[in-house]
Amino acid sequence: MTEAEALLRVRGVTKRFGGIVALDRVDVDVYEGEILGMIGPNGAGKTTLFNVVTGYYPPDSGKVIFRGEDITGRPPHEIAKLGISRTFQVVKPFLGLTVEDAVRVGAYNRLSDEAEVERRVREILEFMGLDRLRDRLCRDLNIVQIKQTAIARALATDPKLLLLDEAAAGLNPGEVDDLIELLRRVNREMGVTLWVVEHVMRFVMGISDRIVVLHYGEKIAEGPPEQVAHDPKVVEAYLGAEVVI
Amino acid sequence: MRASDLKPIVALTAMLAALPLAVRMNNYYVLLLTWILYYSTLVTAWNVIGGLAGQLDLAAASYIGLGAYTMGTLLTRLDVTPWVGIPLGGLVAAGFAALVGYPTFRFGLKEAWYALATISSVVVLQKLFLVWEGVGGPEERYLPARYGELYYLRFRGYAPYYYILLAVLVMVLLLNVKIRRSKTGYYLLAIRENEEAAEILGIDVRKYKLRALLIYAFVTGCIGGIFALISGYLHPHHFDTWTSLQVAILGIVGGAGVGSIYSLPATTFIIYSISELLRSTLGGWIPGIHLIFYGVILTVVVLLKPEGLSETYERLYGRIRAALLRRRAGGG
Amino acid sequence: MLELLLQNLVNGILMGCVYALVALGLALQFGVMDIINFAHGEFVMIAMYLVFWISLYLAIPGSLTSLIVAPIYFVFGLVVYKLVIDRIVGTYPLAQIAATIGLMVLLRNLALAAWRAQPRGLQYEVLRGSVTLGPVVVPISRLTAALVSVGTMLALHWFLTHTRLGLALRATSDDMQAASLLGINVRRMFALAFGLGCAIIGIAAAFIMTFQQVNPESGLTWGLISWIIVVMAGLGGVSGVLLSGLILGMVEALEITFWDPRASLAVMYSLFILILWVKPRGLFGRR
Repeated sequence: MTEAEALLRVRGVTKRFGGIVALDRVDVDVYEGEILGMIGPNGAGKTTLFNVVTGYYPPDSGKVIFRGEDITGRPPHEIAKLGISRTFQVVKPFLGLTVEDAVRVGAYNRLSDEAEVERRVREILEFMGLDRLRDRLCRDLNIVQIKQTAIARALATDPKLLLLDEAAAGLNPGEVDDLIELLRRVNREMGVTLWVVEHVMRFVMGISDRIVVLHYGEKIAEGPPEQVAHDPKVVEAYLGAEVVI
Repeated sequence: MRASDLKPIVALTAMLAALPLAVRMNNYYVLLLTWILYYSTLVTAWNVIGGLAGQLDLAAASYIGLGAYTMGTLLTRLDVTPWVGIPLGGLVAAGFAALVGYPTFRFGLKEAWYALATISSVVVLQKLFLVWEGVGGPEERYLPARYGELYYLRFRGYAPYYYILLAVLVMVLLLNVKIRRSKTGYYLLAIRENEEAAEILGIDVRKYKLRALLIYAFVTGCIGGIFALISGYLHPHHFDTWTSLQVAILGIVGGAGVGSIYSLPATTFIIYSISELLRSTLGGWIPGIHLIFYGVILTVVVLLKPEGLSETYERLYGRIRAALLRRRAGGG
Repeated sequence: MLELLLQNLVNGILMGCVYALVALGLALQFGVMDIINFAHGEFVMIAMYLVFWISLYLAIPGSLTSLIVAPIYFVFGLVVYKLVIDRIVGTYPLAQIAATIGLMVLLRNLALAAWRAQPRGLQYEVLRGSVTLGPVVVPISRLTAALVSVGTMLALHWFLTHTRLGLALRATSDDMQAASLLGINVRRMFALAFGLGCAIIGIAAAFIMTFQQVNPESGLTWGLISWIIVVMAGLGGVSGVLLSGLILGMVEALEITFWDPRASLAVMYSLFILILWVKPRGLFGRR
């Protein structure tokens, strides 16, 4: 693949908080149709990078280019309109809304005709297997359902690229497998490019086409899962023992 | 709008329209009911910003005062009818609201700053109108005593104002129902629940908060004009921080936002009646007992149920409703 | 005109120091707990009444009551923390604001019920008279209040930078989770910050009473001044608060010189909105 084909290009992004360098000249390409994994120890800057890409923090330097358009420093709602959505590590649910209404909020991103909105909401709920819970308040859901709703409302915005921040954290192995299956379908059937940050190795190794490794704000490795897992720099970053697949 | 949305409004209107007759147009009770309706209307309007958008607005008195002075000044100076002056007052109030709201609704700014900026605005406008002798000043400015003329909207008793406020309340209720079922309504709820998540779903948080604020401030400014007609004069003390606080307290205790919109007039009715009872019985010994009551009820309610306030209220309301339905079913 | 301006500016600087001290407690609480106490002004007002009554019954100068009122207020702060604040830390922002607004309404109206609306001023005070410096007359009471304010701020700054407890407070302010990982009891730090903030109010109230009267309505004005300073200072530490207080004092002085003293709050408020507009993180904030 050539650079021109990349859906999203992150170029030389640097972000400092006070004296701490959270991201140091990071380059990442996300290609159309792929599932890109991103790993790294705590504090490696993964969530910060997501926050820069989705407009929550402006970078101190560097550029973010989406479908050839420079989106650096644009606010999140404009980025959502362009076709990027995300979930959060801290889930940020709409506790007082029903599952259906939470998804509806997302659906309004591209649609204004009420009938179309309703159709979209129904589609997404069915796709996510959430139709049984549609009238349930998010406050009454369990953690798995809350995370599913967060993915559902993001999908409802009709994104080209979806960023998932630790979607598998807190799930048991069976649930992780279900999530992998679901995200594969999102990727294949809905044509959404995925960029996932994950701690759960079973998940990230199982789902990713390629993996990027961040360490102290720097990209130290990139490549297919097998190759990255045996990269000496990566093993060292994780102190060897922790990266058990 | 669905038919099921309209039914309770029709029922409520019929009930409220009959109330003054039920108390046989007794002056004291009609006045009391008028104030209850006045606050109900304010709280229901407040629901748009405080309930749906979840922004703790404490500037009700600023909008009321601006609406009152705009309508009153046009009426006394230029003989402009309140029919024109009242909506113009709403526009002035909305303009002022935008000045305060635009900077404080910046994405990611602490919620507390908006509450601070709004309550402070009341104090500040009061001082400014005191100093601004041309329009305000420390003397009361009386409205023309042209009673009974539709052009001046001035009446001797309170009953006409009661019915004017009732009409406004119905409009504000319909407005709430309409917003709640629209894209704007869903967006505001999302903002209230989590601004950061709302942004990445494509919601321009500042724009929608401002929209809610402008609607609310316009309505409240209009109510301010009516307030001036009822009180019959203009004075800087119409910029009263206590009114602002009362509206927010009734809104919070009434569970603005999540629950049924009708819980707001209902709460206002109950709490205002209790506080009035306290004032008329114990107020002689303990001045301000009714105000202390508001402080106690707010603190207690918020501490006991800081998150699911409206939920509790809903449950209680549901229980009362079920009981009433049972009785009706039993009676019929 | 020039003499008047000079006189007002000196007054403004002295008053600015006092404003900073009044806001200091709020800034400390905000910095550590990320909570704004809407009842802050009412706390100041109640403390001023305490000063008045203690001075009256014990027949001691108002300035000396600071030694009594500050510890009382420290305990008062701990009690309020335990009863109210502790329950709302980390909940919905709306609930936090609402709870302290409830406190504000309660205290203001309790004061009104207990002491009625008429203003009260100290009967015994040793800080009388004034010194004359060229064209400028400086009342001893205001000068002392300003000096005490600066002194208290220096003391707090030293406490925060040179003691274990102070460092623990700052660590909590910087990063709550990291602090608790280091073995700091975060809730105790919150209680300490709240108590200390209140004790500072106690000191401020005693010296304000040496040149001002108190009435139940004055709480809101003190609250407004404190909020403006906290917004201006951002998370800028003690020096940020002092500088913000001085700016506010001088703005007020200029306003009084060139316009109507009754409008000074309006001018301060415009400043508040302006800062939120152009520098929402404050003029001296770190983040």
